[in-house]
Amino acid sequence: MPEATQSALPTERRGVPRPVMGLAAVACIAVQFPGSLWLSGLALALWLALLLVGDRPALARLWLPRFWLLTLAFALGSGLLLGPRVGHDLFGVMSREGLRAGLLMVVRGAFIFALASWASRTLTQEELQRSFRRVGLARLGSALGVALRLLPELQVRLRGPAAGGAERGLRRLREKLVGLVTESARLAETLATTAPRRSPMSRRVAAVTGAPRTGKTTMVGAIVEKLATRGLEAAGVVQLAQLDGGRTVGYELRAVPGGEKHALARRRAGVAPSGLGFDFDDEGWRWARHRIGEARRSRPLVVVDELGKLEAAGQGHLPALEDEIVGEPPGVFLVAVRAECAEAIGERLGGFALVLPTGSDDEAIEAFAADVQALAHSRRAQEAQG
Amino acid sequence: MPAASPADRLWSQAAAFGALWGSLEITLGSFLHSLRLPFAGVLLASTGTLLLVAARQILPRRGSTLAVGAVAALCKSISPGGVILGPMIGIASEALLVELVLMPAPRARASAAIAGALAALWAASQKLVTQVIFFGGGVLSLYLALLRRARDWLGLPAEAGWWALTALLTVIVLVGAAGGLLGRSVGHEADRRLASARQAPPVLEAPRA
Repeated sequence: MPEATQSALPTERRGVPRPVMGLAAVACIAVQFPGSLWLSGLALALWLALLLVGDRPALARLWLPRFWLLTLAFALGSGLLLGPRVGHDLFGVMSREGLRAGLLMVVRGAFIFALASWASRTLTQEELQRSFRRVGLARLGSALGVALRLLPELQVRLRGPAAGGAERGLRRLREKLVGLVTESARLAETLATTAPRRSPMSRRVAAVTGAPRTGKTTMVGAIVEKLATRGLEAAGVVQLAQLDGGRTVGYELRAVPGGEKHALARRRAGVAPSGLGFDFDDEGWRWARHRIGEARRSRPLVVVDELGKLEAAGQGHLPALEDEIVGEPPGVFLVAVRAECAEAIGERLGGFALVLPTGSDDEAIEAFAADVQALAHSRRAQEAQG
Repeated sequence: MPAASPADRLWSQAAAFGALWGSLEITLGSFLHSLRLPFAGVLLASTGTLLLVAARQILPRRGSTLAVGAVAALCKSISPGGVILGPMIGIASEALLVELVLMPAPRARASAAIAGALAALWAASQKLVTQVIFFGGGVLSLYLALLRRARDWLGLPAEAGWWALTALLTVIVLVGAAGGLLGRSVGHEADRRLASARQAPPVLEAPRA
């Protein structure tokens, strides 16, 4: 087995639960803040006792006689070289104050060493990656996962044959470095261009696509109703056009469920109806983002209507969909997408799992709703499997 | 093939170069430490800076160096052997220093040299800085007292110690700067090769008979 994967194996069962050990570690660190030798000694003794009960292999790793002899010599040396000497000091040559400072160093050093010995055994690689996802650093976790998979191969390549004579060797070394860096950059490019398919949103989005005013919102509403009867409750926002004599004069957001309203955009005076001639209200986007975030935390189905030119450029509702949410339960998205922007938005979201064009008949809508339900089930099953 | 977003490019580069640096730390680092070579950390820091500066020539984007450092430090966490916290802190600190220095002018020679020099100086002094943080300023007094004793025993003049220290720091700075400059040169060459590969005309297939 390659070295890189050995420590990824789960560690054996231990006597003291990990949260208890973690809390004890924090308490032991806190106790040492005043800088008292006795308190630091107490913290070290407590931690060693916990290791004795909870993680004996970590304790065994502290058996380094040469290291401890050296640190003890360090403490004695500080007693000899540092601090004021008074008549009643030890052996007449050693400063009590200097010795105390040296012993404090040794005790604190031993504690930190013992703490690191436990921590390095306790956190496995899979747990680290999962932890990154939990604290919203999913991208770092993914990058780490990719890097760890590359490690064994890179280690083999780095152990390649050494170069020959002096000058030629230096040139060959530079050439080898250029080759390594070029290959790494190529690898990075490949990883980057395939990344959208591995996006966190990938295989989570069902899209209803169509041109403006072809019934996307109506169709989304119908699907939401069908899914509600099957026990899949939805939440999110829909964006309704405000019409005046057949002309769109603004957009209004409406919360699902509840129907709470919020203004989003008004047409600019004197601007041709190009589709982007609107003044958007930042407060409206914030309101929608908050609603979408709440929906992602609480519901298995998140509705966002609609995604268009702004979202194709990475703006509008898109940041709300890309937000990394700590502890987000497995869910799926039902979005209404303008047909002309569907390809660009699909790329940004890692591809649509399901697509239903407007104008589809009832049978197709029914089948689409069933597919969305199946998608939600499979997401839950995948998450449960880890 | 879809165009990658800037964030995807940054994290993909972090994965590729972080793995490369992590591998170097695990293989070369373990080797140098097992030889108990003095200033092995300086050599490793110089090599790390070489990679960081080279990567920054290819993707001169803010934060990319820090991301590479974060991945490499975490890769080091799986290194076999007892003490990993120190090297992990070292890698992360070196990446932070290089990121800060390269921020204003990522492709300048001076930036590369300064970044390398600072990373090497940090590697040389990390142990001392960590001891001061953990144990307080008393450690410095202890070391200075030991050096004074040694100087007295050897019968050296008072200023000899400062000359020795200056010479040592100069060597460390030169080793680090050389790593940074080599990294810049390697990165430029790699970038040139990548650009020419992108611009190369497509190979035409021979017509079928």
